[in-house]
Amino acid sequence: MDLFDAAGWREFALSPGFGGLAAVIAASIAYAGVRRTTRHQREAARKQQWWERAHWALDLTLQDDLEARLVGLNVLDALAESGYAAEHEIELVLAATESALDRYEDQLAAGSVLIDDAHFDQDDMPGGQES
Amino acid sequence: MTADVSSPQGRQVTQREAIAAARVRVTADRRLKRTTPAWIVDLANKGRTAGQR
Repeated sequence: MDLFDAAGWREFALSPGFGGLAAVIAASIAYAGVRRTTRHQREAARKQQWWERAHWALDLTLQDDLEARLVGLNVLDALAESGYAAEHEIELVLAATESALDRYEDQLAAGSVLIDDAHFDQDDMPGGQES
Repeated sequence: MTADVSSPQGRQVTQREAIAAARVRVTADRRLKRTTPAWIVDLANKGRTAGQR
């Protein structure tokens, strides 16, 4: 029997072997689809967690308490390193630091830097002086 | 010494806060493949040096 003639293909298509092969292929396609959906759901959940943590950290950076603000900035630093932070998320983190750095630069120019930690020596100050 | 100093332009930024913000800025700029101003990099490095003391 020539395997490539029409009758041969018809016979193969009706055989239990072909049925089994088709079932395996269908199951593989379904499995790949489920895996992809699961992966997307997991990534969406992680992304959602990233935003919740960013929201919490951003709230901290707006507190009156210095230690809370420092915690917020440190958490934002960690979140910026996260693989779940894409360009848009990192831009948001950048925006959170802009105001503080702009004001600090102005304070440097005016020579009115506030040293708030005994670990820093007067010699470490970048051109400013203790107020 | 820790103190909150208010000014008409807003709360005064302390050096520790500025260093923490600088570290965030350096991380974010690195992730976005942007250049960070030298004074901000110096500030971030100052924080790392102080933390090792």
